Amino acid sequence: MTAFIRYELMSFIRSLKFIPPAVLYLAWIFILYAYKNVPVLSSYGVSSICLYLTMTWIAMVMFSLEVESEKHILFTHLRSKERFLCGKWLTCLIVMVPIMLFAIFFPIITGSFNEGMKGDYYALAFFSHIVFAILGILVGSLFSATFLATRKYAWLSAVFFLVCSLASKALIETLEILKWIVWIFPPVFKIIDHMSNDFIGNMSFWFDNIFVFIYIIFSTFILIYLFLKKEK
Amino acid sequence: MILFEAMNAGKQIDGADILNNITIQIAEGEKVAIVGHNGSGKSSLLKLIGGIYENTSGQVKREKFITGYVPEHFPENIRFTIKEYLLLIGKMSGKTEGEIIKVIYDYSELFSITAYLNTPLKNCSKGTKQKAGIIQAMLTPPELFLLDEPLTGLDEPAQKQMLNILNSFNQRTSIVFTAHESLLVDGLAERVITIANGTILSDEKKRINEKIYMIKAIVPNKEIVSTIDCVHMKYQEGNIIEWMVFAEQSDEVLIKLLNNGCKIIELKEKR
Repeated sequence: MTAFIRYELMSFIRSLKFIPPAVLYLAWIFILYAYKNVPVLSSYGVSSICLYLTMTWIAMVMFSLEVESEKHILFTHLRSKERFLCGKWLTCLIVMVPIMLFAIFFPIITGSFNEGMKGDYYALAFFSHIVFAILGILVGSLFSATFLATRKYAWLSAVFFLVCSLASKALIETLEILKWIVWIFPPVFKIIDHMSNDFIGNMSFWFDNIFVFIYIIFSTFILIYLFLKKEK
Repeated sequence: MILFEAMNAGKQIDGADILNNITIQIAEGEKVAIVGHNGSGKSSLLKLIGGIYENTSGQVKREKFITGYVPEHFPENIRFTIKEYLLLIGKMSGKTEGEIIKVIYDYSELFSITAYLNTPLKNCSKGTKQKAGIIQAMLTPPELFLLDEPLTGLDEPAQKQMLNILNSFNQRTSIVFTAHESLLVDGLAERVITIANGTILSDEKKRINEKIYMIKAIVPNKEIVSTIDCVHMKYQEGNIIEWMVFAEQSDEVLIKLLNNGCKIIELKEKR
């Protein structure tokens, strides 16, 4: 698996396809912290959203690196299609680490926050960035590693999916009946809701976390199934 | 031991039937050629055997085996040098760097590509890419070796080298390949599966002890083609056709060709 991850990382870097999402991400973080004395958790909430969108983009690039014949050669060497998928996901997570660290430590180094960092701020910052990155990778995989990848409007559909997930709370407030539909979108608002400086680690916070955790596990299995179905 | 068994297996891609009612067995050590016209389903059958494709109907049984796969067209956009690529691929199969480097150099020498090992694959010629594509499948000695038109893009010495390598494989290695060239079919296959429109037309053991002659002739019209009983036939430029025929049938074929106004331009023993 290590060799496959190296193969993917080298291929990804040499493709130079990381440049557009990385540049946009960096620009977003620079603009976010152009002002000083900003609140800690809500700023991290915004940078988590940046990471969510960026990781979707990176995952979509990662899954479109190989042509069919290259993929088939890799399947035979890895001896399983599941390993191929897991290798791709692990590569995305490795790519995520430096850009997540940048989002967390850039405002600390530049002294952009209106208060000092505390232990629970660090915990929440890492937690929200990691969860958003994972959700981004899952959305990217859905539109590039399953039957949806072959559809004409895969990229457009992915953007629509991301927008719906970010706007799902507003959608429910506008039309309550939508609450029966929006649960299919990644539950990013369940994390964002708690990213304010009057953060309380109450029951609702833990229930929301459990829901997000179950959502990630469940969608991972669905994606494995859809990927294997596409590569059947 | 049976490595692969299909019973009435079929494969659909985007609603189109690619393979239908495939019933075959591939045993350990068998050397099988899959022949057929372009688009007949040869490559899909090869992928079904190797597990790259799964059947969408019927039944398939596959033993666990180490597979080497050579695609028809080596991918164009690989972003590594030949050496980097082969090293990473070899490591994926769990071999150590030292072992892989030795195998890479051995095969590179055999295929005369040692000078290009540090050249990016993108900049290599079609033949060199094809050779790299063949070497990647042999880095770990495969138990089932699948080759899709492996001689495409290779020059004549490399084609003969390839045939020698395949013939030198362990007797227990099963080799399944698709080919248009008679060289591999005549020189390697013990069994020939003919496929058309995704269906197996024939599946026959070859008479390997018999001598084979190559007859090349200019034909006045193509009506004669269907009446010639041959092992393999290939259209060449103009009206030239090359036949591989069993020695015992060669006189009969020659008479038939001459009686039909064909001009014999070459006759030689192939095996």
